[in-house]
Amino acid sequence: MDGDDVIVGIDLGTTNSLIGVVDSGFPILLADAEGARLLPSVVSFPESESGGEVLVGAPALRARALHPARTVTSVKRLMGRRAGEITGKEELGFAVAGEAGEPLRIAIPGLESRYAPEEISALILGRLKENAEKALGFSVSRAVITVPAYFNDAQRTATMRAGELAGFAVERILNEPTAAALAYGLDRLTEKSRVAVYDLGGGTFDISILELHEGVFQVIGTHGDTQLGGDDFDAALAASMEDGRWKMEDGVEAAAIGVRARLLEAAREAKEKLSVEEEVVVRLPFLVDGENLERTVTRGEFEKLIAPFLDRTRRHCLHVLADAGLEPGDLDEVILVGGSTRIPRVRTLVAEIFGREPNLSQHPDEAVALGATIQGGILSGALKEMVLLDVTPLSLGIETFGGLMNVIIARNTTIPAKAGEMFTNAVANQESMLIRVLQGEREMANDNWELGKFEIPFEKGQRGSARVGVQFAIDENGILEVLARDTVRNHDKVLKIVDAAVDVEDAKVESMISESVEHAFEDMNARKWTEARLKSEELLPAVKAGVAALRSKMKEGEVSRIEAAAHEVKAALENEPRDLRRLQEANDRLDEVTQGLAGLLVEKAMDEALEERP
Amino acid sequence: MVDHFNVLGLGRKAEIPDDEIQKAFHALSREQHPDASAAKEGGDFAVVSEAYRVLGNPATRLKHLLALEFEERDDKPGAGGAGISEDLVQLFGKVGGALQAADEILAKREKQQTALGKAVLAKEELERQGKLRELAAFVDEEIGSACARFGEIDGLLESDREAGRQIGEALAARLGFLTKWQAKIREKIMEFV
Repeated sequence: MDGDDVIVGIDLGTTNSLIGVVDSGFPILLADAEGARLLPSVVSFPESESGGEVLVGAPALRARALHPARTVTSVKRLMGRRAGEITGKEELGFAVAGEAGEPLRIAIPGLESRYAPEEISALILGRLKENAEKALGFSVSRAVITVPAYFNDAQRTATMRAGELAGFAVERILNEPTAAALAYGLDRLTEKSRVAVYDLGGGTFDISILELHEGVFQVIGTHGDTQLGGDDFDAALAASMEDGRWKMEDGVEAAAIGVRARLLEAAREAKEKLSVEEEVVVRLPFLVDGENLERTVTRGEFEKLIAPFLDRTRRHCLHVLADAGLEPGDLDEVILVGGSTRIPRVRTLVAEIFGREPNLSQHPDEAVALGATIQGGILSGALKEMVLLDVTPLSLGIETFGGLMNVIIARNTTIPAKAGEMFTNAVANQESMLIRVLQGEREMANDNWELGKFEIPFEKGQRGSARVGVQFAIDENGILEVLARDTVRNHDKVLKIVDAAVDVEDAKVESMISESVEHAFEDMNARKWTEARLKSEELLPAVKAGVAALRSKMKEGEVSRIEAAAHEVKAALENEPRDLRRLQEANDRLDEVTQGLAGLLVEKAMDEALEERP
Repeated sequence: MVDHFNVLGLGRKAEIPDDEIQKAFHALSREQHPDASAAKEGGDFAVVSEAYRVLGNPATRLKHLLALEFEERDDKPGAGGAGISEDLVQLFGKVGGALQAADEILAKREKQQTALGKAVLAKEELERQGKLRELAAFVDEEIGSACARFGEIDGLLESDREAGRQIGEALAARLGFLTKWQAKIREKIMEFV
């Protein structure tokens, strides 16, 4: 083995990262000097530019408790995104900067420099490279890096740049569930099977369906969410533990960031314990102003908190099945990977969706890295007889007349792929045509992600006289190149989407800005009152109808509780002067006491629907 | 015009089992995918991928076959509206109506802020979803029976080309609509989950 021939495989994860290499035909993962294969994807910065070293991995994770504001975690969730997209809802322990629509930067207190997410990722990749070189005894410079299958073009490009910044020639950007399928299929090359890979990690979720046959791994379909994972479970659990007492949402200042970091860390520990225990006691002494936090969390409570997130993964699973035109019974195996699939409720959910027990043969943390390593081996020629046919997860197209999205390459098309279409001028004497390149599944152009745009000039003429051919080519990394050709004058224009993030005139950002200006001029209280009133007007007639239909099935106490709460809502609505807080509280109370009734109503509707079936 | 049958090394006919197309695609992938160890210089995998995409779908496969046989451009629409049968027009009305009804209830549901508000709509929601599922099953059946006639088209293209062309074009147009509606209905059903 030699440095120039070797292609390492890297899983650049939200929580942890790994690196591996194929040795004598077998993929192996490489450990650091302490024998650890998992490198926490955490970077901690010193107090000042001159004051100490940048920590990466386990030491950075330890530093997080002391210096949360200077410690960057889960940076993967920020890759390829624009500043305006990050809302207060996202659980970041550190500050992000940048004007809306511009590439996002991470700000570290005390440091002049602002860091792009790919620069942080490059530090993690650089550490993996060092670890690998120490373990192997020679330098490595070529790599396969994995990304969530549902990453868009900007997120893929950012990952590629991170690799280059770390000194790698990035030979391939590989989809994570596909990588896991490679790890699964390595020992099963002669079998013919159809498998689904359910990949729920720290920050992202993917579901892919593949057909494996004689060494060909063909992806049939893929779906996912790049902002859904274990981090969300931690945040939900942390928020429920602190009950709003310490106002986590105001956590921009350093002290609040510290409280938040401790809460998140405690939540993560509790979550992990709840995979084996039925309940845990969380103790955080002197959390705020000498006040202690002590709470018991049961597995049932935790499962209730994460139910909405798991429901989203369920939808993606049904979607990918529909896209592939398959029923759950058509699959031979459902493989689980990603750390969050250790949660018992995730496993039972997968069993419910697919009607079979999931396959747990793959190591949840290591399968993706092993797959990346295998792909590295395929590319370097160390592994033969295997080839991977992947797809583009999102449709690509351009905006056409009327602001509609015109799909040129549909989602789930095998890549590399090329496709084109001819366009003409819609009005006479038009001198040029604006090509907006879009990625996404929505019908309206503006609802999709804009990858870039360019103008193609042509000769003036009658309506319909111009001929512009637009050709899309997606390479094996899933990265797009667009070629527009004025076929009358043979004039070419090529758009390589390299830094699509630097596009300030994005329509989305424009609308975001205009919306925020509008809202600033509105009377906030009046708007909130209207919102609350609409909620009351939704609940009151629903209570009437629901109680009338189900009174016989409800306990007397429940009926009177609901009626009392409804009465209070009416009173709050009619009260002069308006008391917003009272109405909101009355609504919340009524919403809360009618949960059981809502469940009964849905059950009744489902029973009736079943009876009507022939 | 590229002959996609030729690219995949398949005989030029409408009736080809799905797994035969996939087998041909996999065999060529092993030779032409840029990653394959046996990859030949200068091979263009995008051409193979495109051929698989066109032939893998019965509607585009039949259209492409007819375009090759009668040397027409396959990116142009077919012979026009003449071939659309009455039952398809009716089905179009049904599909459109069901999609619209689904959109209405989904929009209503979207507006509800409370569990009880949503629960009140559950009955109507289930009914409309059930309608969509029935339609999806019906469209699936129609696609199945259209594809069952591929052998007949292949026969006619040998014996009575003009008849083969006419029946084939009508069938291709029919399949084009059916597959498009099928995708739309399936997507809409997903919005209910």
